[in-house]
Amino acid sequence: MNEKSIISDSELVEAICASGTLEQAIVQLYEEHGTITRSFIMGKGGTEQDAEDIFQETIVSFIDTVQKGKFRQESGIRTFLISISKNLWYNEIRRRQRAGNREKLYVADFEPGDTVLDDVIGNRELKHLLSQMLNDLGESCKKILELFYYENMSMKEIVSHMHYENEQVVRNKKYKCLQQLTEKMKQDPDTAKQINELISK
Amino acid sequence: MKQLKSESLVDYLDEKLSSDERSEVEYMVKHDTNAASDLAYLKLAIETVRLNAIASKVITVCQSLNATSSEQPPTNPVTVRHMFRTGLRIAAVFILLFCSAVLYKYISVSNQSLYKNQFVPYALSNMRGTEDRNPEAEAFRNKNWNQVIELYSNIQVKSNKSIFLAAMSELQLSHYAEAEVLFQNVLKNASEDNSFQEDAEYYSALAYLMNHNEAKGIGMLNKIKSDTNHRYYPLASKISGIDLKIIDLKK
Repeated sequence: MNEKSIISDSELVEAICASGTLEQAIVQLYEEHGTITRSFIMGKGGTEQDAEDIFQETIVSFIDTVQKGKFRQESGIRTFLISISKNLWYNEIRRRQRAGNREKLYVADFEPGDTVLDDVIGNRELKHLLSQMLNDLGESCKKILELFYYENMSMKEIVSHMHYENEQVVRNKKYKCLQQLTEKMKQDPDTAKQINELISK
Repeated sequence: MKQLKSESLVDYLDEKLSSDERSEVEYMVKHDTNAASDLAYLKLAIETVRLNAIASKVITVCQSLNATSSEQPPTNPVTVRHMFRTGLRIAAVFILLFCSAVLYKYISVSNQSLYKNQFVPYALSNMRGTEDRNPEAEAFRNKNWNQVIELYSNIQVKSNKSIFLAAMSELQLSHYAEAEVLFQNVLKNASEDNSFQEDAEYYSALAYLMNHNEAKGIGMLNKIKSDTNHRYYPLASKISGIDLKIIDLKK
């Protein structure tokens, strides 16, 4: 185990929620839980690349869960990460099987029923599709939306950060980017169907 | 009208509306399925932006950490531990060998060992005067040590040569105390006859050591070692300072 500064689970959760300490929290998650999580995936038939991809997706899902205040600290972070990884990996195996890939199945102990986990794993493919649509908007659109909706920057700060003429330009650009993204979602029939199913629940 | 509705929904999500405006939007969403659908799409779009931002940070940090760990194979803790252990083993062997050598040296060096290594039988030269054919010198050449001593005791006027040959004979018979006294007599007479002074200095030093008079013996040997013109310098210089120190410690 790494001998660098080990912080408690609650401190790690605080670091994920606080502004400016997310990168440190990711480093901590990587160093404390990376090896065991990747080993688990590789022990279940995944390649080294599979293990890395699933681990990164696990961290993203975990941070999302924590930032939404849905992480109950009853189980430790490691236990939670292993559960996410396991279910993401089984989900991935199923996806590959549907795509015609013949890979060995390790889905016997899939863990449905945990609402937090279901939320994390659910609509995984839809999330990937939407992420791709966002990337297709182009770098400037993606950046403005990220700065506003994730970094919580004001219009004034974004003007300074991205060197736009004024706040109105940024406001218009942001609105158009958001509209473009929603239009893309609506135009793709499969995506629209999944979204409509999700909305109607 | 459509854009106005859409802008209101965005402003609603961005929390830019007053409470009255918020109530209007909420009423619209409740009674207009298209507005409700648009709001759901916008929420999903914003959620996608959030997740994408998190993913970007995670990917960046993980790639950086992976690159760092792959760049540092020599600092692998296991390797370092192995190298450290190997280094310790080598150091331990060297320390053990060094300690063994020091111990061996300490045990092996003594007054007796130094005397054995340094004693060279004195060879009487024919070049040293006409008396070389006298009975004492003849007995010395024949290694008849007791006869040399007997002849010496019967001589009325004792020359430095006579005293020195007697002293060397005593030394050959391992009579170190007697030899020491005789060598001192040679050195006392050196102001009048210094022909055997350097011989007496060297052999007296050996006699001192065998008589356990280490301070005088070591002092004399150091004096010879410091004088490169001394006749016995080549012999004395072979004695290491460590050996003399060990003898001094052991006294």
